[in-house]
Amino acid sequence: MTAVASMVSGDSAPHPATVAPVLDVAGLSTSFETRAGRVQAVDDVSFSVAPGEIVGLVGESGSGKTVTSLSLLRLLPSSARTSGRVIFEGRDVMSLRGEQLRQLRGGRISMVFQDPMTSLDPVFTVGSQMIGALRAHQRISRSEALRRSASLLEQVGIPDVVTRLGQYPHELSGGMRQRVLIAMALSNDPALLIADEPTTALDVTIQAQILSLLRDINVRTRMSIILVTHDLGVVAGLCDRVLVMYGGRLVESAPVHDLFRSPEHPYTAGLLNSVVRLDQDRNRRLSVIEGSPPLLIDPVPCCPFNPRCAYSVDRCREAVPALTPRAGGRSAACFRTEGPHEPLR
Amino acid sequence: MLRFLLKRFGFAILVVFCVQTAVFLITHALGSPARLLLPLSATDAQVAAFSHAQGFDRPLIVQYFSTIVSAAHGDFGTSYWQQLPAGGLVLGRLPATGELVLFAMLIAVGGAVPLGILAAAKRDSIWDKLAVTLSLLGISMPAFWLGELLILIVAVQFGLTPTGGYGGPQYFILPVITLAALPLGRLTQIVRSAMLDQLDQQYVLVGRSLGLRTRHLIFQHALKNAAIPIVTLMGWELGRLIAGFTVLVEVVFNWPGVGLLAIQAIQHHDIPLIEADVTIVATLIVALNFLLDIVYVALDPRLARPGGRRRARRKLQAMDGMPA
Amino acid sequence: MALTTPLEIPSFPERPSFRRLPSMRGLFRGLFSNKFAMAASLFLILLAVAAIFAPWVAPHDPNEINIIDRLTPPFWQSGGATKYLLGTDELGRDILSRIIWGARTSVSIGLVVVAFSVVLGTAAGLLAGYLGGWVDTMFMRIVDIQFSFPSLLISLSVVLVLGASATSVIIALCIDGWLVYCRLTRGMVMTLKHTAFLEAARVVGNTPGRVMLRHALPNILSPLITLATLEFARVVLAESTISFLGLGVQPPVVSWGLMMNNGEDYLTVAWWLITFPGLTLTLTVLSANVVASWLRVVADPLQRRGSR
Repeated sequence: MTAVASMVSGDSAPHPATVAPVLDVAGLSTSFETRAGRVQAVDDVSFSVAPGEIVGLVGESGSGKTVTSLSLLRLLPSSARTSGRVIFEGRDVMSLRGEQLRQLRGGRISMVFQDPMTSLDPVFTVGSQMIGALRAHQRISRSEALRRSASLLEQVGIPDVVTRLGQYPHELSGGMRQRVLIAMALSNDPALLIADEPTTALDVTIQAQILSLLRDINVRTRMSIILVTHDLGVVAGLCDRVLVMYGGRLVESAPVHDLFRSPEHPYTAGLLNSVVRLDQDRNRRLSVIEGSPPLLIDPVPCCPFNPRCAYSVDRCREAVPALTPRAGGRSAACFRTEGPHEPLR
Repeated sequence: MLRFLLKRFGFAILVVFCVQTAVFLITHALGSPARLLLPLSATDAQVAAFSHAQGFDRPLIVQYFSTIVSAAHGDFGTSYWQQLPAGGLVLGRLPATGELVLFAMLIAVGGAVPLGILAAAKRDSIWDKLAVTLSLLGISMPAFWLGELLILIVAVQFGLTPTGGYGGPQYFILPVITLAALPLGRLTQIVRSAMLDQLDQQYVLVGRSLGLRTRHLIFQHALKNAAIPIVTLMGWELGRLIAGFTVLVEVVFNWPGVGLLAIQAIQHHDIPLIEADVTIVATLIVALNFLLDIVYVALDPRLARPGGRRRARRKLQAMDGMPA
Repeated sequence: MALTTPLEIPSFPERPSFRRLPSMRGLFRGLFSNKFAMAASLFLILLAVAAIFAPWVAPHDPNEINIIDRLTPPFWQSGGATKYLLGTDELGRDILSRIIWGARTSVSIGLVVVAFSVVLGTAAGLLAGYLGGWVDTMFMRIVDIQFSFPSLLISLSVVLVLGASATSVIIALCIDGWLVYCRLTRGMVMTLKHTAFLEAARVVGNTPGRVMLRHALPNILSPLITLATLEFARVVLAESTISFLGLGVQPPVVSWGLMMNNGEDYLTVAWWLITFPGLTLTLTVLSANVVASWLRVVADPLQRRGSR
């Protein structure tokens, strides 16, 4: 586990059952038309996010987690077809028209992306871009926007704010740029932040700082966060609940401690097993999941993990398991674990 | 930044120098200047006498240096054809060419920028296809053919404009349109390509996710970034324009500019005039490119860093497929 | 600075060692799906046929003078005849035949100049790119400077001095034709030099020459072919321009540019003298541009995205 895992997650998350969710996703599916065929990147994904909750969206490359996050705000190119419902604050994002959608983005829901090096416009100063982000949603003067930008930069822990505002992006380090981007995303007090691998491109130490920053904001403002990542250490350190994706489908959902202690889905178990631990026998072979992730072109109606699953039964080849609720606020999409079964770890 | 500009200035001087050298070598070394200037019926004795009188039999190096030194003082010799100082003749024709090029570029830029932006903003729509088709036509039609066609249709058939010559506004219409066609087409392609490139960038996606208005993203962010490659390629376009197509348009429309003068000089085998004309045109081109270097540096803050220009230029070449 | 910074890696084409010329079948399939490109290619093939088989395809001798039939309009106009489909010029010569023979001139000059320029330019570029150092600086300096020359005027000067003929046109156009290939090749070699596989080839024991020819060159072929197509159009246009100015090919050689030069004087009475050669020229340049555009997308997918 990385150093990040040593951070305590905290038990500030409310119980999902008692409060209305801030985001409710039902049957989200996204496909792309390509020359090779139709690629089903996201297949019938449903989940919800409670106010103040930090939800981790985990999966390997190609599992559909980034496409899912982009689909929530409809930021995909025109070659994508998205269906399903994304209910946010009582309205379905999928049915919003132009200006309503624009107001939603950066206003009530914001995103932070993976690569800070190309996420800022290189020919405008930091201050200018922050002012732009503010004035896209609030009718304030430039000087007022500048003042607020300075305050926002302080909140994300950037020193020497006045200088930074006048600098161009190439004069800032990667970690600093990511903080600026986070500040921009927060500038209009969103209720939900979607963070797509915000620390993957950064040094480990900077990683810890950024994640700590996100947690601070979550604690202070009760802003929900969807954290898309492939790093289980990050998940363990920050998230309240975890969603596991594989082959474009959601295969497991559980509170973080439960997921790590007793995973229900064979893929989750495989993932956890493949994490190298300091205390394991140095001479033991690394544990891997045999096989490779499925091609998402023209999906076949069977469990996507079936070809690599050590526990598969006949039924796994014939039908797609649905995400069925289990005890303790968990759910998993696996035929084998529907009835009584042996624990996977 | 200053160092960069100084380097570019030095380069400009070098180019003019090389052009002069090239023309000198071509006219004095490749062929015999005396033979060129005298009628075909001249005997060898007459050629030798003329050669001596004009100093063509001096060692090449001596002739070269004398030409260069005089040129540096603005003295390009006397035109054989018109018996007037060659330099003065060329300079006298400059305004006419200048006006033609200026108006043509205004039309080209004024048309290409909106068209290119529209095509990029509405990718794959009917506007996009229209812009691409128009630009292809623009770059494919030879300037002299287009000119003749326009004369045929507009001037002869409909009698709307004069068929050629220089004068008031009505004389400008056809030549300017003809000259503008190619840069219009090419620039539309360039603008469209540059904008498409920018709209695919991460910062545009981030901007959208922050709720920035589309118009703001296109005209403030994408356009400013695209401006850099556009301005650079536009400068190259202008250089080519002056050097090549202006000549054709001036010939077709009998426009009294430096291009027509060059052709006449060539037809009259007037070496000093050729040298003067080519050198002055080359100077104009490099002066223009230098001005554009200044604009370029002003637009892109990354150039202030060492190595920034190299990186930007590499990106430029990759972007367009055409060597920058 | 960071663990994984994918953006620090410059944007080279990925896996250049695996890039091949597209298979012929793949090419044809792509061609059929794009009607524009197909039409353009057909036109160019037609042109090639006309050029090669001119003596058999042309209905008349292009230089056959028939004063009686001079200035006959195209066959669909009154006064025209099917004997001269596109009409005749001021000396009674058949326009269509002259266009066909003109194709031969333009295509051959175009091919010769492009062939020579490609060989010279690519060799220079490979050398400059691979050797680097002062060789590279010297070459690129020459290229940069020559690029800034007013090329038409220089070409005209050369033709003047050498005397107007097809040969001098070829020489004049070769003088600045090699520049773009040098720049392109050198740029690509520089890019490739940073990727591992060229170094690997060297380490394994290949001589620099072999490395350049067997490993670097195949990767450069795609953009080179695209560029050559565009350049072919440019050269054909340049030759027509020079001939139009009366300083290019001379009779009895036929050239579209020369036809237009003659036709200028008769613009008001015989529009077909200029229109048809010009139209053919336009279509040639247009077709070459379309094909080059299509080639760029098909054969070089890593450098182009979407419908650029």
